[in-house]
Amino acid sequence: MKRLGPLVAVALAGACATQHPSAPVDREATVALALPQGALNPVGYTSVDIVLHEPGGDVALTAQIDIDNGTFDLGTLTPVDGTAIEATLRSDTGAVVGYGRVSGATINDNEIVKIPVLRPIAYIAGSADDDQRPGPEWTVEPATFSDLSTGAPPDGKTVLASPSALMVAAGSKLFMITQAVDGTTGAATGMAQVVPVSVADHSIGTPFDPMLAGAVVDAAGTDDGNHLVIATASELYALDISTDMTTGAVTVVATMLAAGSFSHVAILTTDTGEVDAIAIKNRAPTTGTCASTAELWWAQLAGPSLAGAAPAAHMVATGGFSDVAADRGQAYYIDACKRELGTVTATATAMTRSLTAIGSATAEPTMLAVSNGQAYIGIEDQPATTSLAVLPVVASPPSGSGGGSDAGGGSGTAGGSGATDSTDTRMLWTEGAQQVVEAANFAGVQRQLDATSVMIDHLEIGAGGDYVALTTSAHFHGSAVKAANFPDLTIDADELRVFDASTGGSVERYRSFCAGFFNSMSGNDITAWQCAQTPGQTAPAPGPDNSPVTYDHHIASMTFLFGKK
Amino acid sequence: MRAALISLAIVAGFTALAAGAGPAHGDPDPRRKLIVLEYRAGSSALPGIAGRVAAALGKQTSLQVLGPDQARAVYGDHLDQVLVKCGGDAACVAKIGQKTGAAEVLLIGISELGDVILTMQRIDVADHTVVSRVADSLAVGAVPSEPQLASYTTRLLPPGDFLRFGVLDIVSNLGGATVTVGGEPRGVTPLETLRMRAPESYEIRVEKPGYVPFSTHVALPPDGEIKVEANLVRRGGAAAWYQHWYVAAAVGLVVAGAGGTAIYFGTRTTSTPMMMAGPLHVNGTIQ
Repeated sequence: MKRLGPLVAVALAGACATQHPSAPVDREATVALALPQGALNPVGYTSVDIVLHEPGGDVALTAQIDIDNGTFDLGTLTPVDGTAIEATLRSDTGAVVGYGRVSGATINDNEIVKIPVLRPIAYIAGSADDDQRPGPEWTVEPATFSDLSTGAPPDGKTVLASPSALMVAAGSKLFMITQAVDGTTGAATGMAQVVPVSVADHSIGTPFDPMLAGAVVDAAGTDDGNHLVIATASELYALDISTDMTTGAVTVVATMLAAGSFSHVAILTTDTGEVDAIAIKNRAPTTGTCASTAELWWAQLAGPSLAGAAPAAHMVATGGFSDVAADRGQAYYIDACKRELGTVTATATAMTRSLTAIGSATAEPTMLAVSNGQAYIGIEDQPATTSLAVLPVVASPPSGSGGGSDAGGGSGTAGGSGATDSTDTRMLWTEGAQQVVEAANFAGVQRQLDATSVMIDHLEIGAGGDYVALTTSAHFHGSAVKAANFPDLTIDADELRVFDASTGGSVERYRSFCAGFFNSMSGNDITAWQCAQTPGQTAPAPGPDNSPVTYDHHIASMTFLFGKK
Repeated sequence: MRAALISLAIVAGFTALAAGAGPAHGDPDPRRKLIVLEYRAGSSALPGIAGRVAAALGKQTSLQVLGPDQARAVYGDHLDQVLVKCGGDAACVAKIGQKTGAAEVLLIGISELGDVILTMQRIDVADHTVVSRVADSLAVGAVPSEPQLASYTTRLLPPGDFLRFGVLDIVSNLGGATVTVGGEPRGVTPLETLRMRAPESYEIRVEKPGYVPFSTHVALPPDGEIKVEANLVRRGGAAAWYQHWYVAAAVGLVVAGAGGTAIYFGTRTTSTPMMMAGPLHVNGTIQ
């Protein structure tokens, strides 16, 4: 959260250099930070950071906020046109309490730039699998959330008003996708529907008319909230959402772009206003032998060249594609088999850098998010180690020795910032998945299980790059230990991890789900076990006394307001 | 007929107030911020009238004019609701102006009493008082022309608001050179920038004993800035042609000069804003 400090100092000097010292500053522009006007208004801010992404480089400004009248003074700068602007509200401690951005903005005499600013909230949604619940074993649960501006971790109990299978933020807009699950198998079933959710107070809007087929898997939206791309297990959809500015009436048109098992999606808006979606079809499992059978698909959703025609998707390439992302009008992919990062266009892919030097020889890049030219890459390694690396999307030219690298250490550490595999790569986090279970009726009796597999299911950047969040799902097995009266144990655990993107420090660690079963082969076996919490880890709130209800839930989706992936 | 009589009576009363209110407030800053708001009492006549008034003021004055849409962007989407609740109360409307950072609010009311009644109130934000008012009765379907709108605004706003200025930045390669603008001495170099009436054409002379005088004419546009670089050369020396040139850089415009003639390749308009080359003060607000 102190990441911006040095950047601000440097860029302020740059901004000053663009001024005309002898000329009077008698022209004025206004940057208006629009809060959502509700209970979820950012609070506790004392300063604002403004970053202008100009062709010649970023210009960062910071200003103290006059709390009494909600104004601030950014000083003078050269007018800009068609630029992307990010705004971050910070508290006295430097913590982000609000973030927003716009693109194509003009700062000129008498111009007002309106930037919607929202709290940095990460939402997670997923079904629950709790055989102690009354009714069906599997149920769809309302999304819970982590409000990083307040520090209140999710608890599975503080939830939105109605269940959702998936949450997706499109810039400052928030949507949930509703879909039923089979009560016995937990498989998503039936038609899915998109429902707008207020970012002001979390009130649930009227579901959009279009019904989508197939179990929803992933979704992404444009910053203006007008376009969504949704992947299901059988289709790829585009939703065009338009609002009549006079009547407020919302019209939603859904287009089925392609059939097939789609998963990871991303969406981008170019400088010319073209909106494109990219998606992965037939993504191979990331555990086990790598398979180069995935397909990378592209669809133009809007833009002048579409000339009113209905959008359609086409395949661009086949390979070991494991994730896609978009940033500043450019789409990116990672290939888990080739271990490479690259760009993708409507017609081709092009590697921008090899990732073979990151992690061990068996490490596979499986998740990708890109923000402001920095790629955040989730890495899975055998048997059950996960890592998070940060590196420029294009490799930096070789520099002299050192360069901040720390090639000799850091392996196996969590929260470390020094372990790097090349001079421009930072390894934010590396961890072997473990879960401790404790005997419910024998105080102090514990068993530590190493995961047999772990996957990074979601990765997203929040608050413009202050936070990076990921979710994992791990599988644990421990054979019976007769001498200790330990039965054969099998456990699954889902976890949300939020890191400080600059230091790798853990901001949030929420284990949303930890449950399993044991096979007792002896009458002496300990037969009452519960998952322990590690320091810094939170878990769902306990249910009411004498109630079988718990608030454990899986994580089927994770999204940040104004997130990037 | 009765409606027309009533509205005419309103015109007479408001005009009297306008005439009496002006001097008490002195000469306000001609570059102050003014927002134009529209309040309708159940009438849909004269659509977009406030926007037209804002645009006209933007052209005629140096005021920082925010029309209804810009005011809404600054204040928030609930502006119209708040304005309706104000019901025309000056103190209440002044609070809206306060939040937008404006010095004054021009509240345009449209109502119908047989004819369409157009009222304009200029409200001082700090004092929460109506400084001046005008009203007119218009036939249903009639649309006030640009000269009509100008006649309203010139009665509402002080004459000083319609005086516009530009900035002359005169620099020389020598210190201690005497600067004369329009025949009036303005000091010696280095010189502070000069705020001058605009649009206007000025003769500029920069002189120093022992050096060839520099002389040129510039046409200063309103709200524009011209930089004049006077390079003085010693008498007796041969001055190269480029030593006589000056660069006149109007804000956002390309201005080229040669032989004392300035050529402007554009003019400032509020409807098609152009990118300003000079520095800009950026304020922020949280809505």
